Amino acid sequence: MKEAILDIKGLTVEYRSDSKTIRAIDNMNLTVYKGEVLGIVGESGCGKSTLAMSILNLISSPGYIKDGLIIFDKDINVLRLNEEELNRFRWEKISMVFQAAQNTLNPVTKISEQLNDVISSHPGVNTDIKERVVELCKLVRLDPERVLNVYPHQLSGGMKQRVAMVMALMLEPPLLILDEPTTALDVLTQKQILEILKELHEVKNMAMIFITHDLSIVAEIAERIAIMYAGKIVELASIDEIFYNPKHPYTKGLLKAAPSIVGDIESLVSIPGSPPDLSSLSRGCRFSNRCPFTKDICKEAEPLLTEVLSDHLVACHRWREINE
Amino acid sequence: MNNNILMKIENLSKDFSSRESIFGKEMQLHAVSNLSLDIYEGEVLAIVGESGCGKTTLGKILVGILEPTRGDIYYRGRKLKEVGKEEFRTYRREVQIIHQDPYAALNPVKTVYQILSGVITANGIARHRNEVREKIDELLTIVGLTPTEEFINKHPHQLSGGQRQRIVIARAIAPNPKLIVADEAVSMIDVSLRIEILNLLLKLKEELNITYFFITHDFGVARFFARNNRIGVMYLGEIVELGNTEDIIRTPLHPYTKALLSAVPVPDPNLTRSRKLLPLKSLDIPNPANIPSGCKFSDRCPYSMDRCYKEKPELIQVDKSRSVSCFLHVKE
Repeated sequence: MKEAILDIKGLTVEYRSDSKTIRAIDNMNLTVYKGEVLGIVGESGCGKSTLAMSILNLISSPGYIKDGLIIFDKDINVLRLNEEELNRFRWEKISMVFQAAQNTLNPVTKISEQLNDVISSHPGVNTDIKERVVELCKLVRLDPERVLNVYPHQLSGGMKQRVAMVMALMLEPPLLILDEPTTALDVLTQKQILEILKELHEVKNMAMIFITHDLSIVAEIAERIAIMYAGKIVELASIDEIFYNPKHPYTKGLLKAAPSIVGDIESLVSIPGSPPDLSSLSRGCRFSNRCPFTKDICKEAEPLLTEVLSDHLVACHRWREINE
Repeated sequence: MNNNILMKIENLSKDFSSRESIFGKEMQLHAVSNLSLDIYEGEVLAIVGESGCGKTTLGKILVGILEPTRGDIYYRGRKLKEVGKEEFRTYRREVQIIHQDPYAALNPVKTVYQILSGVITANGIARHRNEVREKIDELLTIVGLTPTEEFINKHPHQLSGGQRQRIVIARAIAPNPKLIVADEAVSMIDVSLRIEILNLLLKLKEELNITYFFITHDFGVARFFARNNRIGVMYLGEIVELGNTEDIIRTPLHPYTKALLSAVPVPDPNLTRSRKLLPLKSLDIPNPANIPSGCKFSDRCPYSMDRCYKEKPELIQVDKSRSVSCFLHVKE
């Protein structure tokens, strides 16, 4: 029986500016299971980073969580934690690695001190820091001698990303969120980081949420994939189902739109149009203005994310007809 | 593609000097080093390389934004160092650049009309208001921003990323260029829109007879854009392999090309599970102050031999359409 590590229910997040309100995430439900790697894939503006920030209760003005529940490990209500509890919760229960790791490290503090800070901000944690750091450095293929006594600018981008991973792993949280962790890196470094993450997942059996715009990258690491579009999950299924048996027209479109070094290039085609304005949504399916299968029903009612096959969820009125 | 060389690059080098600290000794960074390459009229030449390989520097030299430290560029057979003012101006007009970031490339306080009319009048393409307006309508139509009245008075922030890149493209083709250097032209465009922009650029190549020097870090994009054309792979300021696009992708010869291709993720989980990364000795690009003598890839290459540490391999032709700089492929 799969056991949930994180349960998101009815999450709605908005950003407010002078004249309008943008709903970045709309009434989202999502369960992450213990020990799994869940990929979240979507393009810019789909709300995937907002989702990551919400899970850690890090949304700040002009954004706010309008509604919803985030339950960690059955009994921690994340959105109800006070500041002190949150500080303990982050790093210890869930930690996060951001896209631009170089920006998450303090430029004027040595790496070793920054790692110490993580431990010392969590009183009661009983860890031999030195031993732990050495073990983790080994795991992410960093030479502790080389990285600990230097400042961030003395390291390469790939090394900084690995330092950020060491930091995120210091307290062995059961859930790690990675937001585009390899996007700023070269392809060889990216491959290395992905290998390290796979190994980490095997050795530590921690759950991971891997957020990216690139389907090819989650093909390397994820077990289950959620496809996001305009603030909603439109399809959620195992990696093989998403790649070899996609049901939602947007997922199908994404798979056909990405140039790759394998496969037929003649059949590649963009998805026409662009995502809807999240500040003035009309009724109906958010993908309907770009979808080749749109019918009247799609303009009238918003499709719900429904289980159409075992463990395969799709939000499309016409999934059955178009997949016949 | 025909056999006329549009641009010839001969032993080109660009050095930058930098210091580790204000008291440190000055060090030379060789961004481009002794590079020779022919660009043929009507071709798409994709240059693939990782960050820091010198591809952007090379592109900037080709359009005349940067001056080379050593070496020569010939445009239409004329050495650029020796041409007169008028001819140089023609070269600058005929060789245009498209930058990576459509957000940074457009002046945020100008409208589409102002952005395009500036290029049109500066290059003497049209002078009178009516002619300028006509030319702008024509450009917007070519790049697919119709009806043009909807776009002409907008500011960049009122446009989507894809639309902005179309304006950048319209600006680049305004002076009727022969060669466009496109530097990561779709890297910041959402995946669902990339093919559309690439197809637009390919359509312009046919309609306006444009040659592309297409710089990218993405082999998948290079394969699509330069199909039936050529790819050059760059490493630390040098071209290490050059050949037909599909040949390079399917049967790379240089160990660096092999390594890069083995690391590119593919959108096919079954295939992914069977692919193995070429086991490099080091995954990090060497410190620029500490580039190996001999072959620059020797300290990372799993196949390096004694010779590779001592001698520098030249880029030599190994068959009809392939050149590679690696001693493994030198027939003695």
